[in-house]
Amino acid sequence: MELNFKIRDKSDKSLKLREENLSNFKKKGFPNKREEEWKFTDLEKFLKDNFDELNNDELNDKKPDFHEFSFIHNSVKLINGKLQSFDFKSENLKDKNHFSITNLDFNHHLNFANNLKDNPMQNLNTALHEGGFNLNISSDYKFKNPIVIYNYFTGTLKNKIINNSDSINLLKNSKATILEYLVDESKGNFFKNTFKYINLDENSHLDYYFINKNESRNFFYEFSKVQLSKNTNFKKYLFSSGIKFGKFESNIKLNGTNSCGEVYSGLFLNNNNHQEVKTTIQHLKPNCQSHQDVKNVITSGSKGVFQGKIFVEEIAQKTNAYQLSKGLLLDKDSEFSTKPELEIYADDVKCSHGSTSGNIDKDALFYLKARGIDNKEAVKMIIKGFLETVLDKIKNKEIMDILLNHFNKHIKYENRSN
Amino acid sequence: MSKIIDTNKDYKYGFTTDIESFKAPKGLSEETIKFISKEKKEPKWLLDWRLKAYKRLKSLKEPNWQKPKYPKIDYQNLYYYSAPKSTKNKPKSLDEVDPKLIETYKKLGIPLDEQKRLSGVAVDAVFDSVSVATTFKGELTKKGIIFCSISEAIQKHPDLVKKYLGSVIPLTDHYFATLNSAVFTDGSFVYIPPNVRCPMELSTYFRINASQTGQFERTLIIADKGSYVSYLEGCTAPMRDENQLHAANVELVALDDAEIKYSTVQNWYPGDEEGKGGIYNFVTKRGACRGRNSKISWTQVETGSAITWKYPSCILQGDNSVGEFYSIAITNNHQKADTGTKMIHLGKNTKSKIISKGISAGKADNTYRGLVDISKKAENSRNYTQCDSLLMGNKCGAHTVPYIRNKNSSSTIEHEATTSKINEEQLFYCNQRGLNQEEAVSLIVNGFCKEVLQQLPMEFAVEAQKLVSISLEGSVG
Repeated sequence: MELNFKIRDKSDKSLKLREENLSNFKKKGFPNKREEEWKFTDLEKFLKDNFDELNNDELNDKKPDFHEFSFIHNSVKLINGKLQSFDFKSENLKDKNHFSITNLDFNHHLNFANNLKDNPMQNLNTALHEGGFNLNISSDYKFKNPIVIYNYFTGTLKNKIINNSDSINLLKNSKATILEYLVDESKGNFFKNTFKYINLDENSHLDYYFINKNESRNFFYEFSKVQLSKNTNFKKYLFSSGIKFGKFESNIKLNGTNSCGEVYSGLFLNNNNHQEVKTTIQHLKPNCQSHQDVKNVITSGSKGVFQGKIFVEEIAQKTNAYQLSKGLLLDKDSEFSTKPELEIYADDVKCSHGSTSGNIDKDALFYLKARGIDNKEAVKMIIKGFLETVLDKIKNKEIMDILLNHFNKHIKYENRSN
Repeated sequence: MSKIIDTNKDYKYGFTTDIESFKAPKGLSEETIKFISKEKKEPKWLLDWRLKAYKRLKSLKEPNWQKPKYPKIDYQNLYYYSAPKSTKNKPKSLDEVDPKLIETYKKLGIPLDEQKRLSGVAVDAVFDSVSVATTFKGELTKKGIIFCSISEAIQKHPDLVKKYLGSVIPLTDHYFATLNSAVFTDGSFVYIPPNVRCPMELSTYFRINASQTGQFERTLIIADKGSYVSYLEGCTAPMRDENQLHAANVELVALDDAEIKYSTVQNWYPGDEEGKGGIYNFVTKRGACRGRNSKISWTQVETGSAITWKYPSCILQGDNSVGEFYSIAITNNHQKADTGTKMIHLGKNTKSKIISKGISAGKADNTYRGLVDISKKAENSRNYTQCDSLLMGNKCGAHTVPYIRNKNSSSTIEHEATTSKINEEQLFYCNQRGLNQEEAVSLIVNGFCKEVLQQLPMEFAVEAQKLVSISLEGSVG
């Protein structure tokens, strides 16, 4: 695989930093399975097997037709990772100071990126950084309607690598619901390397959803770094189905008392997909909570991976942390690998995890069939039941509808091993 | 909230025996290996085997992925062979054994003398590196069971040793296993012939005596078709300021319908309350369920050692084979334990069960690290894992690092883990009924460990139960 990475940003200050990061990346290369963090996901091999070349040449952004949702919402449009336009009319505001959204420039990116220096993916992201969005929500502002981020990929993106970073910052007492909606209409394979920096100030609240519209042959790596202050609540919902390669990492720091971080995920993998969900939840202050529930439905030679870590600092007493990961393997060539990890240094805590994997329970299937439900329908019901605990957590009705719609499309497999 | 009482002054096995030792020259080299081999009158193939291991060792690096880190070991400053001088001319019966040695064993409470016959325990005691005396040989021989030191087995049963030695832990394994292959001194050898049920529990007692020696035993247990054996291993070491290395290899082979039960109570010197001294217990234990319907069960109670790295594993090759792992790991003061198991499912309908109980007190760190791997061909396999950790005080840590891979959709894996402290309501309940704090903690902890303690043979269970209480004395306030 040839790497043709060029730094186009020639301003004095950035050039040096970018070059430094690029050479750091080149020293280590793409991570492979010899690294603990990538044990189950050999990125180097995946890229080598699927790309002859990777380059960051300029993209010819073609303006696509956006099919917007019909429910009332605010919209942000990204084309190939770059901020294109936004529309917040639905909030009906006279005063525009409640929030701002801008392109995230390189200098701003550096504010966040510095502390992740030894990560080659971060090095690469910084070296070839090409913007992203920067959303700021002022204190005491609570969004009335959800914000939908239409994340479009369009045009010929063969052998492209796209490096973006996004920042979402919620000031005191603010609240928002964000839906990132991935629409991939591009031609040719590309690799996207994204870093997200999310910060929640005291008493703020963010629900972040990720759903992809269509199946994608492309490669996505995403690292989210989330900082939570006192009395905050962050929920991440990850519903990606049919993405060829995806690794979604979340590093959630519970940095104030009474903060709460939650991760819910329901994934569909088919046609040799490989998807990994990786979470690190750091309990750094007392009285914090975290809850994780990850469900994978795996079929047709796909591989699902979950790596989750709960870390509890000495002073983080009264921590309540729970993590559940389940893999439903529907046919022979599917695989599910997990590493649910606990690292605990405080004693007055309640921490637990559970992990299971296996096929559809034969007794359950028999029960349904005995009641006259055919095999296909029965399997569908069981899969829905399997995902129920995750779907139950969705508070937003419109998003729930989108998701159910998607699932009905996706749950079409018959249980081939029976 | 917790006051830590020094529990190590109670380390009642912390005496040294003043016996002249016969040692190999210091340091790790080809000469040392040749010396050991010559001293033990080994055949050439074994010397070659050792040298091959040594050659490979030179290209290996010490592993560093484990949680507890340790200061660098100076391998050139260790003695690799140390034998009490008086055994240079091997004793023929117990009467000929150095009385001081017998005294040592008495202090340890090892049932070496004839009276203990009633308890049905045959002991092959390993004092430093040479097997001193083996009891109950006669009765075992009648059944065709071979239970002797590995050195003796090399002389008398070279075919068996040659066939199975290194077949479960090959020369090409990790650093400490390979080190053991190069310099192993003694250990036990057990062979149970087909369709024989070993009539008594076999037992070894390891004890590290001389200072600056590493203990490198090698144990090989073979259960032939349809046989059964239960093997006990207990370990103690005297108190010394420097750290001592213990890198043993244990290989188990179970053929068709055979069952091996391997129980360990490990009570090496854990170092003092400042974390000074103590044993580095870097042990490789692995069992292969080669035959159909075979079963290997590991039970361990780990209360000692400054650092424990130990992952008794089962390779479930035969169809319908079963692997079990029951573990209690208790760490106090500055002790560090990183232990767990590997269950590798290769055959069809294989089953494994893992029950791990970790207890940390003081400033200790306790990690469960394990792997459950169900391969593509292991249809209808099943694993159940339960890891519970108990924390006492806020200076200690409890960690769980399981790796779980399921590559077969007809197989099922279940894993659960919890971490918490002792339930205050339970404590209150016990206190109310007149138990003082320590008694209450001991009772609750024993209850927490019950699932594992139940798996131990009677004599061991009683000892282990006491050990659990002693190890935690005063760690809850």
